[in-house]
Amino acid sequence: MPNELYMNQSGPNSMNPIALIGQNVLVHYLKENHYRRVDFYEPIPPFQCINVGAIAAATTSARANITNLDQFDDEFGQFRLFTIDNVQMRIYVPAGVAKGMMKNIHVPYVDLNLPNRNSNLNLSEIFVWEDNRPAVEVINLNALGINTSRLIAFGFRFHTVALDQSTIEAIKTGRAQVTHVWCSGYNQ
Amino acid sequence: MISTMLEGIRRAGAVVNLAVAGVANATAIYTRPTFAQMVGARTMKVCKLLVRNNLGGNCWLAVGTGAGAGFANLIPPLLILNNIDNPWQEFELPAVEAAATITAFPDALAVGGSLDVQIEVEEKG
Repeated sequence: MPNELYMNQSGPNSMNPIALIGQNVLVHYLKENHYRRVDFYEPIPPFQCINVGAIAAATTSARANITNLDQFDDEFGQFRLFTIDNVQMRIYVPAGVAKGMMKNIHVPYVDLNLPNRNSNLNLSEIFVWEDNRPAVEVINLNALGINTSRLIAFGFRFHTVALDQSTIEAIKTGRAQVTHVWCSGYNQ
Repeated sequence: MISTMLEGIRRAGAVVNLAVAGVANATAIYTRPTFAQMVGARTMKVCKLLVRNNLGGNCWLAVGTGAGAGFANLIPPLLILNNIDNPWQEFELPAVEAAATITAFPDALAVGGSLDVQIEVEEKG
């Protein structure tokens, strides 16, 4: 069972928690590694996590922090994202680190085509460690101004506890299970 | 395929009687929810209109947002014929989306006449 848990899982209309209660996780946040055990999780139904608001025609908004995805201490969140407005959204996790940044393009994680092309939204999944909040830049690609630019999030929040040193050593030597959770983008 | 995730919920406004003509008298036919404790912002896509002309004479019905100088059309004014029901279905209407309360007014009315207006929207958010 533990080997079936990984980031960005796909499946028909499904979203699974990345870890179950009692399982070990290794939370990667920038250069930090946090060895933790999940002791509680709960689902978060779809909700509007941010409305960046009105944006003029052919304009990109300022980067906006998504404070509604902040987590408590010792917790991380697993969220899939989509928008209901005709915009493209660049995602940052945390606010200073781009997600989907390749050599020549910063791929918009989210736009209106997403649910048609990636129906379970597993490719717009992000993880948030504590209150290291993500951020979004909204690209209004239209020739008209828009009144709303809304982002919907859903997923799970996990509470974790620190692992003792012997368990950490067991994980490092491959004698104990661990699921890796990347809670940030990746900078070269 | 779950593109239905992008869909909102269908809701109908109340039947609103418009007995006074003119843009200054534009009246709410669908009020945008703005309750302080609700999460998220709602928008409304116009889906259906049913207009009953109560002997108001042939007239034009403007549907938009705001009133007076702040009125903005969502769709071109609709010709409302006298003394009959005037229905518009979704396939006849552009998929415009309003981010404010939807209002409407007739350009003119015969003395003693009025319009009964009901709108159906797809509320997104």
